[in-house]
Amino acid sequence: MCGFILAYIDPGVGSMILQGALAGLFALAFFYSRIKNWVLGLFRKPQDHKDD
Amino acid sequence: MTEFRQDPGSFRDPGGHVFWLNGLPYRSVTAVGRDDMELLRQSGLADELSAGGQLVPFSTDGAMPDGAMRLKLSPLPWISYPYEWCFEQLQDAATLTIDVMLAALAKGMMLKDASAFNVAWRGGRPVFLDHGSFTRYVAGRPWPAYRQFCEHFLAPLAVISRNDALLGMISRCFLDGLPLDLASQLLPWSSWLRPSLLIHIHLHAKMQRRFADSTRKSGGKSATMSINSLRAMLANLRAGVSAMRSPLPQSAWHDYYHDTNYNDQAFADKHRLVAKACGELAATARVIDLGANNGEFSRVAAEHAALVVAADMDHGAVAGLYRSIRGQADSRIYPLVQNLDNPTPGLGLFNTERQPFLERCRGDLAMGLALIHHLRIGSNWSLAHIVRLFAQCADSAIVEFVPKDDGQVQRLLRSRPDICPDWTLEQVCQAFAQSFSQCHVENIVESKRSIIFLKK
Repeated sequence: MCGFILAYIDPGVGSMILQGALAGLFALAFFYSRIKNWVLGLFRKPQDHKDD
Repeated sequence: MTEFRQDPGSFRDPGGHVFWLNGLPYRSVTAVGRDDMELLRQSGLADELSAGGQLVPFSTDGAMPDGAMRLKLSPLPWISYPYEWCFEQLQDAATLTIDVMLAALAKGMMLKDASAFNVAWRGGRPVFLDHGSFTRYVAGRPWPAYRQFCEHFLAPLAVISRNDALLGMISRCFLDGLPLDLASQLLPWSSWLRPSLLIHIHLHAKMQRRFADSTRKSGGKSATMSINSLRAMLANLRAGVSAMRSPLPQSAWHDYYHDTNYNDQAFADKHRLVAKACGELAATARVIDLGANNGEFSRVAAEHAALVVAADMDHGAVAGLYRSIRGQADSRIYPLVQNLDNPTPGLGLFNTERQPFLERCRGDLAMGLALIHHLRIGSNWSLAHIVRLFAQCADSAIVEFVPKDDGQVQRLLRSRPDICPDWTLEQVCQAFAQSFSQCHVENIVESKRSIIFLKK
């Protein structure tokens, strides 16, 4: 069964459409933060390993 | 005899209900909610959240007579409601809701609702209590609880943050959440410049208005959102919540103990007297501290009792106390905002869905320190009203008597005629004797004040 059938609150048509409309913007934010972390990781000093 | 009671606040979800058996909380899980409950348990999400203190622990406990699954829930020491929390408490409850949602997504689940009433407190830490909120995540679908999260958390926080802490009370009027179009109107124009408020409140309100009469199905295929977009939106909501600051003004109360007639010796003696009364309590005792201010004496009580409800009408004082215990799951102090002139009534369906404050605040000892002169002189309560308050809270009480020649009472009488001829220690004790059989008075050294010890 789909979760939406079980939801007992009204999600609101406008709220769902807003999320759909902004999905691209949030996807961009997601990948931007990933790329930013990757780039920052390149300049970050590697941490000392304490394997012993 | 077995005592069964359906929880009056748990009736909306067809997937299950909370009920009480001999004073202990249980949840029934119907056939509608069984798959989700199995997934919650088998995915490891329940164990992970419970171990992290984010979810009320539970165990399966057989079946109901109608075949529904029965869960035994770990009892919570005290239930309070969002309209009784200070700004920071609502903020932490919002953050917890997002964190629980993110943890659920990682296990292929999500929250199907995001009500502020799904959060309770274990000491200074919020804990999620609605096990029926978890459901299977359907890839590509937006979050059905998005609107509810914005109405229950983001909108009230934004309105309070941009106006006044007193607006925390607005949640009393809107149990289903603050309508976004109203929140949008209450916010100043500068809030349009903050991306999280622009999107989640102002644009959100406009979208709701735009599609209010739409016949489109909200769960239709037109709106899609990838899981990465959903995660980014949740991160944005979380950042928006965390960035908000309480608008606390310099209140008259949060600095009370540095601005009173006590010198160091009197203050230490008052501590001693309070500790003496609390020292007689059993380790399991509950203390109701009315007019707790910043919790100075709630802390003394917490050294002896299992639970201290610290109620005060001043948001600044309650926020100060909450900050001092924030994050401490083992704290025994439960701060809440409460105006005794107008305590939280029964609210919701038939006025029984959310319990009145005075029905919940039953304990072994009631404390009213530097309080009752405000009730009698400041708010015109009769002595009988004051006695009734303490007598219905507990079988024992300690109250502080502040005489008319004390600076604090002088301040109260500065701009009003003295219409309280009965405000003498003798008459106050006589009034308490109507409900308490033992009444013992000790003076606070280096002060004109006294502590009255009462027992039924």
